[in-house]
Amino acid sequence: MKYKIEISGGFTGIPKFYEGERHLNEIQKEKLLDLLKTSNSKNSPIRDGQKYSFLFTEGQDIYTAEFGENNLPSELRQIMDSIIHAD
Amino acid sequence: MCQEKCFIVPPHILEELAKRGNKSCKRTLNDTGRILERRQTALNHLLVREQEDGAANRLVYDCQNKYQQRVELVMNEGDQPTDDEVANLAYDGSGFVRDYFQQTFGLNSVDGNGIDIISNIHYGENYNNAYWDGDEMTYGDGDGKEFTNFAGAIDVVAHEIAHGVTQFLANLEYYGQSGALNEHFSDVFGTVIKQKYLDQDIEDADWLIGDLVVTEEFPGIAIRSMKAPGTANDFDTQPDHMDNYYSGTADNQGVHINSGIPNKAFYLSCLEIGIDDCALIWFETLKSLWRTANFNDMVETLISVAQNLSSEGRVNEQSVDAISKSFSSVGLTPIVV
Repeated sequence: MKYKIEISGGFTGIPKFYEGERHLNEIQKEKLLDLLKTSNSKNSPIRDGQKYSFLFTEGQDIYTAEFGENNLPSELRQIMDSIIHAD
Repeated sequence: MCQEKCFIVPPHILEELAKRGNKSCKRTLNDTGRILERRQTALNHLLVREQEDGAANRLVYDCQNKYQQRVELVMNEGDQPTDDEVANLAYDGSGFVRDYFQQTFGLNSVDGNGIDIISNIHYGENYNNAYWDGDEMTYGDGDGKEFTNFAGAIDVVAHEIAHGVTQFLANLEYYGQSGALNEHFSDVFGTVIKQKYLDQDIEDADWLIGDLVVTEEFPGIAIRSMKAPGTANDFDTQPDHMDNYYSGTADNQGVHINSGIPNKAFYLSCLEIGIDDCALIWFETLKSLWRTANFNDMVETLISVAQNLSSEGRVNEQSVDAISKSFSSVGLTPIVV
């Protein structure tokens, strides 16, 4: 599955981009897509929080989601961290 | 008159009345927004926090590199320094900021009512950020490549605490021009307090924000520059004039970008009348602003506040002219009556 991750906002205001490909088995893929469905864009009192934008593609399928500092699922953050730290 | 029945008045009418100086309407506008935000936060977090005790105590929690706040309390008010230098810096920095607001403006902690000042340190893994969440501060250690410990920089600590002060005084919304003003006030008090902390005068000061959280590998010297917006690093796109105003949608419509415009005007004003007079004028202006205030609203309010403080002999008598000139030079010409 190909991925594009953008981390924007925050105190620094400097966006970071990560792009690549990662193999996921069916269970991992299903779990990931479930996590993406929890995205929402409700207002938050957080100031200097980061915004996390995800785009995953597999074949013709495209999955996107955006999260804030307050609603990024921990499992998705773990996936993101493992990608970032592997770079 | 707008008193207890203010809540049934439509927001656009409240805004207009607030602009005309009606403090009751301003309070209603700000309180309504704050209540909605807090309700949303409670729903999002499903977390009930304990009532604060009003002693403006400093509490420092170690997140132990988890993405979770308040994992372990490592410092409480009056505690001796610990073996963790980051905890000591967060404790000392937040104390310096608290004392500055108390001693300079008589503001008792972030909310004026002695709310505890809570810092979360070592948040996450290689986390390159610091934020105010509506109740407390959270600091990452940085990735060690481009960024380093955010809790150890006095301007970052002051910037985040100032977001709390803004929340309780004006509750400026966090997008567009009101969001850029929100960021501006945090940079203003970040740089003022940094200069006090380092015992600098305005000629010695570097007017940089976040110079202590970037490493030598980082392509720049800081996160932002109030003296020269747009020059702090290779990614710095802050404008220093309305001609270059960012009108895109990124960064909540440019809250960290367009703040460069009033930041530059603040720097120029300080050169004319000094940083202490400017700090007082800006603080009193923040108290008079409202949730949806834009750049022009702020300039109008600054001029009005400067006129009042000047007539009371509390700031330089040239303040109105100096602020007017500074904002004109960044493309925001006020109407002075």
